[in-house]
Amino acid sequence: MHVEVLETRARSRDAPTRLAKRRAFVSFVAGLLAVLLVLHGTPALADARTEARSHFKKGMDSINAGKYDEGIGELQKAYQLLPHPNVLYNIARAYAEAGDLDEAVTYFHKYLDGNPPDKEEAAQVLKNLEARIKRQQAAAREAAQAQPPVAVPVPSADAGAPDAAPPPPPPKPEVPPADLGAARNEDVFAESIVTASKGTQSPVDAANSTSIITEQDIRLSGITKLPELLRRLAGVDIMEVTGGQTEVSIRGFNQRLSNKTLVLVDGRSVYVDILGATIWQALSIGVEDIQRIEVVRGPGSALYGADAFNGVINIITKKPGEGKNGITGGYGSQGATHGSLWASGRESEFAWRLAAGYDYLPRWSREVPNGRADVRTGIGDQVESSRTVRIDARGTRQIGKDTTFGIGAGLAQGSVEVLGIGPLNDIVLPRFVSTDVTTYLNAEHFDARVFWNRLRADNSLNVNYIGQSVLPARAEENIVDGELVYKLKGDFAKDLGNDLRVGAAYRYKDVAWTYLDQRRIEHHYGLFVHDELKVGSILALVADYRIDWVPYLERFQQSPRGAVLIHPSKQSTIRASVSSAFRKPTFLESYLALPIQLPVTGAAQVSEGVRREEKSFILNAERILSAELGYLNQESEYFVVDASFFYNRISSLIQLSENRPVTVGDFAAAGGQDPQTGLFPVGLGGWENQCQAYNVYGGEAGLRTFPVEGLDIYGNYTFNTAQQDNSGCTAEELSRIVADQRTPVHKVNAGIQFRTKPGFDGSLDFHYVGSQVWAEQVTNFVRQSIEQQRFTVSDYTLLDARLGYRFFGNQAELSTNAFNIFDVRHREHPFGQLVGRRLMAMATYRF
Amino acid sequence: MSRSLNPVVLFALVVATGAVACGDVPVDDERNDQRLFPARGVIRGTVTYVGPRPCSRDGHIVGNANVLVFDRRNPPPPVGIATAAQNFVSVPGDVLFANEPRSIGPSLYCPPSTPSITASAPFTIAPLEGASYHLSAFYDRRGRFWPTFKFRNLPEAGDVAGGYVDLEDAAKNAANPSYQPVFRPVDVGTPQPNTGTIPDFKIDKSGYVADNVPVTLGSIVPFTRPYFNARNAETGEGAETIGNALTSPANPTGDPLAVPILAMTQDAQILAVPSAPTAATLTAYQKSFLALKLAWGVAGSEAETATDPSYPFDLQLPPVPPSGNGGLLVFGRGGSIAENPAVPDLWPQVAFVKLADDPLRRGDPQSLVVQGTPEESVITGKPVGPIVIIQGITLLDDSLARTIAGPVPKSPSTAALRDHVTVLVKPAALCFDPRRVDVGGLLVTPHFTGISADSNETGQKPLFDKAALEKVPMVREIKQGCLPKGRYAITLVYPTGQAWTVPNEMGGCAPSEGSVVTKGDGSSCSAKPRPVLLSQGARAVLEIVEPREANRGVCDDNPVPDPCTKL
Repeated sequence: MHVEVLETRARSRDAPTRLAKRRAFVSFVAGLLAVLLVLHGTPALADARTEARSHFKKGMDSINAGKYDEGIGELQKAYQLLPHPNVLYNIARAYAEAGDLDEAVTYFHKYLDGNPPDKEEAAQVLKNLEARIKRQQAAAREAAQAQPPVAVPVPSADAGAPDAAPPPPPPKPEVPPADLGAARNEDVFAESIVTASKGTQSPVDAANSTSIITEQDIRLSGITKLPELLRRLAGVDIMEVTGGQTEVSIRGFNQRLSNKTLVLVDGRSVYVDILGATIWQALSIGVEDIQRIEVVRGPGSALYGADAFNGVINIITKKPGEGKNGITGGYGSQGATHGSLWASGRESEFAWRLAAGYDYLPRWSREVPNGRADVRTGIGDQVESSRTVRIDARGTRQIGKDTTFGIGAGLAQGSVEVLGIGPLNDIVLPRFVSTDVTTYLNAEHFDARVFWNRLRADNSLNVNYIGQSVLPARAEENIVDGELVYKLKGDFAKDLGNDLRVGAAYRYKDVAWTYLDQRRIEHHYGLFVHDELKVGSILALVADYRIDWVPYLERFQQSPRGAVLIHPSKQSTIRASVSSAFRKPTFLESYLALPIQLPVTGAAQVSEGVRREEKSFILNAERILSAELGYLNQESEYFVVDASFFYNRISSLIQLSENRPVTVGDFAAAGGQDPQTGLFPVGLGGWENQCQAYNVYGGEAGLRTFPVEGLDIYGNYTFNTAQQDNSGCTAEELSRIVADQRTPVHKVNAGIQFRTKPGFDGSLDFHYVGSQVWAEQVTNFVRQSIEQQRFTVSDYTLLDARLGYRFFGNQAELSTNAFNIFDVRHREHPFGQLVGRRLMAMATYRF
Repeated sequence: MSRSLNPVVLFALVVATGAVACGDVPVDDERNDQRLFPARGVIRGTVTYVGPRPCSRDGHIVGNANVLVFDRRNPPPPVGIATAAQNFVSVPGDVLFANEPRSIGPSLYCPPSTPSITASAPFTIAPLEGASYHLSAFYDRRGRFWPTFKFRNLPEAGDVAGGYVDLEDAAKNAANPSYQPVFRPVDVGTPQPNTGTIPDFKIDKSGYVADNVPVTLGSIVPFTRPYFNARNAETGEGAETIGNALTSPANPTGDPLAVPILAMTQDAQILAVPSAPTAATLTAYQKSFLALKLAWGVAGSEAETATDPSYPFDLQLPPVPPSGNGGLLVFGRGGSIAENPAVPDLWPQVAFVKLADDPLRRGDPQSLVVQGTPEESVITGKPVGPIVIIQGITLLDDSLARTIAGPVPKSPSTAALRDHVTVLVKPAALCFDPRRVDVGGLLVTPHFTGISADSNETGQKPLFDKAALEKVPMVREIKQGCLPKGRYAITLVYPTGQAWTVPNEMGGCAPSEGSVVTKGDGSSCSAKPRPVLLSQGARAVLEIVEPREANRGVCDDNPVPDPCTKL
């Protein structure tokens, strides 16, 4: 096997990197121009949602004007682009109004096949229509029988001359609109989100800055690694640490085992309480299963409680019963593999969706070559970074008009390597099993949801000298999470609407991990209220408050949020908000008790949450206070503008504590050597709250435009600068602190998506991430201490591209995807692997 | 519109896929968190115990088989001067004696010492640099071993000692109580040609495993460590006495807890050996040396605390004969001191080891860090300096004349036990490069000649037999020069490798323990209260100070040689 040793890279890195960056940018611009030229002369398709929305609007206008054929045609185009039951209803209704009852019946049947909430009413309309058809047919038969026979004209020898003009067709019997129910005029293709308020709303009504990644964005990007989808968004920090580990944070403070952004799948938290991180590879869904991803920037504890520190990412999967069946497979660089298959169906009130998949991701780089006699590796040959087999099954049952019951389960199993922190600097989970069972009931005034997340994993160090080891361990986490929300929407008076949600939450956390001092069980409670008061169409006031009982802290944590929204127009908003959030210490930080072997074989530093020499010590929760001013304009059919400016005050961040050497005075408390390993504790570590705080100023500005059909261009810019406030530090603490600017000050994303009628489509995405200076904690083995050191990460550019070709009536598709097409070798974390180019060829078939 | 697959598209995709899938994952050798896992060495073997059944408590076997790794270029005393092992591993008693019955009660239970049992267990030590190593080992029967504390890091009476030794040679010398085992080398890596008697070893890119190394534990240690408290031989003042603030170059603030019990000038000069020794001239000769009295155990007022098992010290301090078998063993080494063939060389060996410079006592308030060790740069923020050692002359019963006259006990028997030992401080320092101790050190002394201790003799006489000194293995070169200034710890060493050093952790407070607070009933630490035994504290040092004003010319003419101040 050929192993490429990157030994000469250091000498000549800067110049090629600059060159590659320049090439990436030039290529991006050239690609953009090329696509524009191609599209200029080629019939193309617009952004699907925008185009469907346009057709829907035109169709409904035509129908209202009595131009039924034209209107129905537009609605059919909209439905072809993005199927929606309301469109079917309106087509059926238009046919009925136009008097084509047979087509109306056909479309009403299609509508009812989707088991809509108003199926009883629609079924009655259908019944009436069918009865009317029968009556018409009966009347026609009677009329035919009552008419006197007429002479049949004899054709003349001159066939070219008509004998007489044909009789005009009988007028179609139109159905009075009152018999068909109201048309579904609401803008069904308008963008909507659920994450910012726990209820469906337009982004212009959201109290936070929000972004959406659509199904089309996902498909056209060709990205198969879920968190990588988020890279295009402003204010979202993506860090490829290893081949299988991507860390995501919002508005900065990303880290290994990123723990400040709450990730949800259909509202279900997938936060791993042991580590306080999201293990993306342990999710049971693939990118093909995603309907959209909603990203809410800014603190979210007011709604979601602990850990929604700087934002919330909600992955909304495709609904059971919707969408097609399909299969996809891809293979690429270093054996990277992606495969998925999915099926969806409906049986009366019950809808279902099944999905399964397999992913294999190689490492970007490896620490040791094969054949080493002195080391032991956690996973075989140091090539595999993650491997996941997943299966996901979800179902819903409609109960009456307004109630939906849902149930589902997912399983992901495989391996992953994780660059953690402190004692878990470089670990592998050679085997993990992640499962969830979720059930919910959504009614008119209540939403109830209970889920069970379970994660079982073995873990060991990635590479270890023989005889040196943090002992392999086993972890099991069982989380049961329940939430009950009462919803009341109404008007106090004319132009004074109110939307109230009151909820209670409970989270049971049961963690057994070899590295903890003991099995730990926590009960976390929360109460929250969310209220939106709309004053006319101009002004809206949003207020939230949540109080959480955090068992580790043994005290309540409060998270208020308030926002004022002014709507200069229907689809634009100026938003001002103030919010706060907290992150509770994780199980790792709270209860770890792990002897970490030092280079001196028999000695260990014991990292522990419960300090043996100070039992009463507890960490404080990390806190953030945020103020934001935002502007969003979705008024135009051709562009969307989004801009936000924010100030964050961040304090009490949790970091590795200064090593506390075991002294003679600690003998009684230090407890002697570890009986299992024989290691002697020579130092005690763990975690502490930083004395320094951070004042973060930043903003995001983005534009997404659809200038011509088939072309979707986006660009956004992120600014983020953190000022460290060391006023709360002692002189001794100050001596240990170095400045941190781990969040790039400047970040630019830009890209294009295109779809053409000949079948070619694709995307080109450009990313620029500014340089960073990380204050990372490292172990000084001579001093036996944890030290902060500065590490610089150079700025880098990425150019990703996908080119696809659809055929067999758009059912089949072949594509090639390129990540980092110019192979700009870079690190996205100081200790991260050396990220390079990755290519993949994919084939997809939908049916 | 329905489209069919364009063959050209399919072909292009297949070719592209094949091309990109063939790459491999590159090795990253530039990571900046130093987790690059460079190729290193591993020593793997089996430790075999032959000795009494182990003690147990709470369902666990008490003690560990501790295997200590030393570079053969710098073995521990008495052969070398290493102050700490380069690496070690402890095989827990529960592992070594996995099948041995044990007590589940809370009290320590030690079964009868006979008959002996045999037990073995594997051990691994890594990572190691390429080098030739020597492995010494012992089983700490009381479970007191704690590697990072000087007062608990070496065997005591009852422990079972050994190592990777020449078993045949040991068997031949089984009856010799002064026998020092011959350690066999463990080479890690490939020897490099022309790099010395003990060559350099290089580890290639695949790493190196020295496998199947047998470590044997079978020698029961008869006596405990040479615990002592140091006192000025002239004044009788010990470190447990806190006097007035007195400044010195190494203690510019005059911290009373760091005022040395003995100071010697850089230009110290002794008398020359009398040609015809008499009791009077030998006394005069002895008096020309500065001397320390090293008394058995700790200061009297501290004895109870030092031996109380409820405190962390728990020293073995039996009374001296006839009440017990405690005391310092003073017996012959089988030769004479290099400077004078008439003076027999005695155990315990005495060495004064220069400590890292920390005049403000911020980094190392307990005076524990030895110059020339990696920890030195942590304390000083400067590059590591040379190892500097001043040797002492052990006297029998306080008298040079008595030492010469004899009889000197020949073995470490009860007859050799003394309640104290007097040592003379040689005005000479050996300066070693810590990287190549095996090539010997530079011996520096301020004077080569002096007047005789016999007033009847006139003129300058040689102070030592230079030719004899040059033959001492540890001496590479002899040079005239003043002694390096600074504080020197005091160490006593037995031929078993058992040693005791002051200052040690018992005598002061670590930075996180706070400062030493003295009240009527003893001393304690301010932040984490625990007893402090001041006799083992930072006063128990020899400080080399500047010459008196009148004699400054000596050091101007013969300054401290560079090899004694920097590497």
